[in-house]
Amino acid sequence: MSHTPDLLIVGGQIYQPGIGLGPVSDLRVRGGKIVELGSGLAPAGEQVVDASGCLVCGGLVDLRATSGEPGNEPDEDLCSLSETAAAGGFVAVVVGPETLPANDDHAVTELVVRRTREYGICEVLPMGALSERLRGESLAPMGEMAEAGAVMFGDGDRPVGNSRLLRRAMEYARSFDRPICTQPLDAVLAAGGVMHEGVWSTRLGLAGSAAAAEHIAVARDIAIAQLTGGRLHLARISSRRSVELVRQAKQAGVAVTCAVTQWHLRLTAAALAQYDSNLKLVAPLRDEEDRRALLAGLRDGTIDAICSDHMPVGTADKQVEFDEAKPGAIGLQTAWSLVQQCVDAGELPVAVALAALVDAPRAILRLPAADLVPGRSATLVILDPAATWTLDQRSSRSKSQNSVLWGTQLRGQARLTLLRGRITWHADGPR
Amino acid sequence: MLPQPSATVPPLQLRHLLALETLSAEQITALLDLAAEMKSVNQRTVKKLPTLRGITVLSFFVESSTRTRMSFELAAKRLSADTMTFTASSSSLSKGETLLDTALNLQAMGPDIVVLRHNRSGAAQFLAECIGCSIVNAGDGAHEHPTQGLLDAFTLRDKLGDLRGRKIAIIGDIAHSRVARSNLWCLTKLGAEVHLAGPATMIPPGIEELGCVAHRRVEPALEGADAVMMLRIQRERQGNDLFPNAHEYHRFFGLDAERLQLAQPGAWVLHPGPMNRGVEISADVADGPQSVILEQVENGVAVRMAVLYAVAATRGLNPA
Repeated sequence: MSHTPDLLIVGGQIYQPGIGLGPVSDLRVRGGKIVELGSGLAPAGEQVVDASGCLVCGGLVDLRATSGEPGNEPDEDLCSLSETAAAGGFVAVVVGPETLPANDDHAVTELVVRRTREYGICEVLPMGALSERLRGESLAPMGEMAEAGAVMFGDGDRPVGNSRLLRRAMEYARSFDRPICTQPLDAVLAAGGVMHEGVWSTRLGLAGSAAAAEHIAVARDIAIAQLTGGRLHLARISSRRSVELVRQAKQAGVAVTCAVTQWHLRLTAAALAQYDSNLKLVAPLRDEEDRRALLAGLRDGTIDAICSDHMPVGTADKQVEFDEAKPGAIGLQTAWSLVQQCVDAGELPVAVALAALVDAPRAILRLPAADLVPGRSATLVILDPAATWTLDQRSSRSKSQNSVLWGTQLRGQARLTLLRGRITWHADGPR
Repeated sequence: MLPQPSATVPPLQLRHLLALETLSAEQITALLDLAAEMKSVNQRTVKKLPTLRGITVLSFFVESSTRTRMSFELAAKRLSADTMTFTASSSSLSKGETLLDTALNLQAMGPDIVVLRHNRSGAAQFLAECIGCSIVNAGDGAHEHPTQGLLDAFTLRDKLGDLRGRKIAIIGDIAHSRVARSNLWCLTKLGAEVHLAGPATMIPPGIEELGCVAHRRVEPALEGADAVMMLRIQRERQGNDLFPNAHEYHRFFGLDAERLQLAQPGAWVLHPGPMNRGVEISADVADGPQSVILEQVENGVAVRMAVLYAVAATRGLNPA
């Protein structure tokens, strides 16, 4: 899989950032670059890839994934993470700082960047810790981490309870032009909650985490972004009211962006009826009105991005009582399939979905837009909406199996992923 | 002498008993009818049936409970089952073995039916998915306590007859009560009108969507009620933030003789035990003529016999 072949991708529908879906066109790739875009291109010695019926776009970019490496390699290492991402059509993935040791130091940042560059299967972009040891007490050395390749700063899934520290972090990060990423939660109000508080937590007898615990923190984080002029990215929002707060903040000119996970677009708390610990997530699944508000937020641009929320957890931490289970689900490989379900259900225009998976994450990370034009590096994905596949031992590239979709047949898959011309994933390829 | 479910009783397909939410009114009624036959056995001089001979019932109690465990063991013994007991505090389990590993070890000893009590909601469902035995839920966290729901319904049916249209008040910490949830499902399926009450901190969100009326004071729940079920207040929760102190709780939310007069004359008083006299219930009411608290305990054995019988029959364990 390590070669950079010359390719002629024919018959695909091309998505261009800022423009949307264009007509069916052909793309010629040589020496790792796009050299020609047009219709009816004739092969000139390239390998021909038939992309008819498929979407061709810049590779997907994920803003929230978790790696097991360093520290928890049996659940996921940086190689398996890269391969899982590529198989899902991703070319770049932001990984959180909650490793062992935590990524609160440039040495860890460098390790992650260097390892994954060696593999060359996916750009793995570290989120540096906001505070030392993720303790929420004193600032982590952001400057050095930024130098080493950290693209944003945050304490991962740990809520930053200390508003003053968050203020300082947002100010300090401005000097390095990096956004601060928070997982909004009022931890005291949410204490003990293992799912969304509502009729389903009542029915199941599980302790609930009120939606207010999320939007209280959303409101505070926005206020601090406004105070400091810093850039704020909310890693995952899940409630209707959070969407409203972000919408108002954007109207007021606050530099806030946010993402929603693939799960929240398709599922609600009702999916927990059988206590499936794979649906215990950091941001809990909420009600149908929340799900609809999240979709509406994506459609009107309030929500910028869709994230995979990829979080590998071994069976020892999942095959336990729901209360005891570690939250999280693997998701890099299924993100497109779930998003396509929304598209197929008429809930999300495909151009909006692609903007949320390709353009918006790049803009938040200040990466150049992924125009598929001659001269640009061939970093792209061919998405096949008709492909059917099953997430299982054979198809999954992750070392973990914690997904509610395990064993389920899905529609929509990345056919081919290219990173700077290199084939990093080929659905019909070996393995 | 053997209880032969009469021809009018629909066959009970009950591989596990995890919850009452998923049972039909017919299944519940069939179980209660079977329990009535079991109760007549319990009133004989020789209180034993050979029905479950050769069948092993394992009581797996991760959360301590003396009365429920003894009630199940007595039920199993009266049906001639072999019984064994495994008790462990949840913390000792979590320090060493996982619930799954412990359960697999117990399964290897070959029990047919596992009676599980656990402090985590969903634990019975989890075990049923993981091991091959039949699981009888003896209470899982704040989720359900199905045999308690059945024995309460049995007691109420015994006293009131048909429960359709009857007003039943359930008072106390609804939010953390598996007894309240099982009773809610069971009684509404049997046609009763369920009114829940307690301080608003103890009324969980969305509870009315499950088919009941919820009140933040006890008086409207008590008014005209045919029966009142008081729930145990966890005094150890006092450090918690659900109510200020036991004295205040009793004043506003406890059941005493005066407040009981709001209910129908002769309304029955139930309590799943153990009681906190002077907190959720005053001594005169607990010991008074309207109290059926000890009958609940007696009926519990009959109901658990019926459940074990039905589960064994469903597994094809050929109850004699």
